[in-house]
Amino acid sequence: MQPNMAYDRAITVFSPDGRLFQVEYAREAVKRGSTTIGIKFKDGVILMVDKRPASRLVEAKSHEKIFKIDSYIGCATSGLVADARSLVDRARIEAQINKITYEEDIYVETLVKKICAYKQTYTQYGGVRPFGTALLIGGVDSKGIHLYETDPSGALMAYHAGSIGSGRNGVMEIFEEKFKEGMTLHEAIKLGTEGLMSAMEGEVNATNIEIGIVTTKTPFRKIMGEEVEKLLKKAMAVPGKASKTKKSTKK
Amino acid sequence: MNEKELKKGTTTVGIVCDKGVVMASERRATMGTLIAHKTTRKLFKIDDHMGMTVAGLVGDSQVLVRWLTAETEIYRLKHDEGMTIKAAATLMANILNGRKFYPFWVQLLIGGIDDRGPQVYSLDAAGGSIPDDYVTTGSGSPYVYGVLEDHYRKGISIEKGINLAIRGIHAAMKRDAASGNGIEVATITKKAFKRLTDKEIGERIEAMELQD
Repeated sequence: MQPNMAYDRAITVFSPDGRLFQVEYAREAVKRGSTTIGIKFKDGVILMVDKRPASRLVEAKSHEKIFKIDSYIGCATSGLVADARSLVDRARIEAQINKITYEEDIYVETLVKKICAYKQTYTQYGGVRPFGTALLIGGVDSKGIHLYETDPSGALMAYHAGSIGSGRNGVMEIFEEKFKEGMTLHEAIKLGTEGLMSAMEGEVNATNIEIGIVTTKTPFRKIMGEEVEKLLKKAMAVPGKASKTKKSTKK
Repeated sequence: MNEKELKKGTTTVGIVCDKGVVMASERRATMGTLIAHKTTRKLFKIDDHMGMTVAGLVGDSQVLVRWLTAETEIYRLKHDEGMTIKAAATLMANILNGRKFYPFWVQLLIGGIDDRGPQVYSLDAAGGSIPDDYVTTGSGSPYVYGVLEDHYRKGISIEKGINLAIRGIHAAMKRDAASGNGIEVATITKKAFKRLTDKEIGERIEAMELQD
């Protein structure tokens, strides 16, 4: 066998040391994606994304990174948006299939596992490539409040607060330090904003982020523009040491 | 499967009013001469702006209700707005026509309100889909048509529409053995899909002095 055999060409081939390069490259696409965060709080989950437009000529409404999947389930994406859209389509259909089959809303865990099983098939069969996208899926069901991260390999992990995309490391550092269980919505938004600040060079405002919220009482909905502004204002009014974080992230 | 053993025999109504749609049904499910159920739901909410009544086989109807509800939910997620009534009727008609040789044994009314105003479509098992101002389906429909043909006026108010629907169903329940056990009424306006309570319906029947 040639020593320089290309283990990164065909997806289904392991390298001699047991790696699947195409899957790792797909993870790389996520790492280069925009920063996306999710935080569980007392009554639900928030998702926040960095959506700084590439140009002022882009219409903000046209590039979506947060998607509603079912009444009480939504997701935020990082990586290839086109791949994410196809996964979201699939997720929405799975949610409806559950309703047709059982006349019950799908559990968040069931949905996440379905999506991951689907992603996994793209790492094992020939002639395909993995999804270059990770999803943060947040939702509420009869079992509780959930936040999951799914990666291109089809692996899944439940989080109290998680992040994907280029700013992940900085964000997770802040979350490790500051996340508390049982925060209020505004506290969670504030923590999320601090996280995004570290990834967006402190430029977080109503025009360059998008928020998704679901609580035990209110279905999942996307929040954009003016409403984000109001929410940020309220969140920033929450007493606490926001300034400390800004300094520590600048170091 | 003997046809007489299948649950059917129903009365449903859909009426286009000035600011919305009134839809109604009774609650009896029969198997031949047996009254199989006395609290059957035949009037369904499909979306905030759309309802559907079903007549025919209960199983087929319920499958179609779940199917259309799923389609309208996905449509709303993808388009950020509700499906138009015409679109829903056409979609359902295509589904029905696809089973022309092994049909869903149903007669449906799809009604609601969108940018084009209030509308009611009647659908048959072969996938025929026709909009109309007032329609009634099921074994009790001939009796209801007697009432509707006499009292319906174009642009009727919702208030009058509700009473007209109750009058129609009431007549069918008196003379059709396969219809009875109470009335369900819903109004669909720009604001909401709203079901009337049994109490409200009872009060209206009393106020109209309908014969027992």
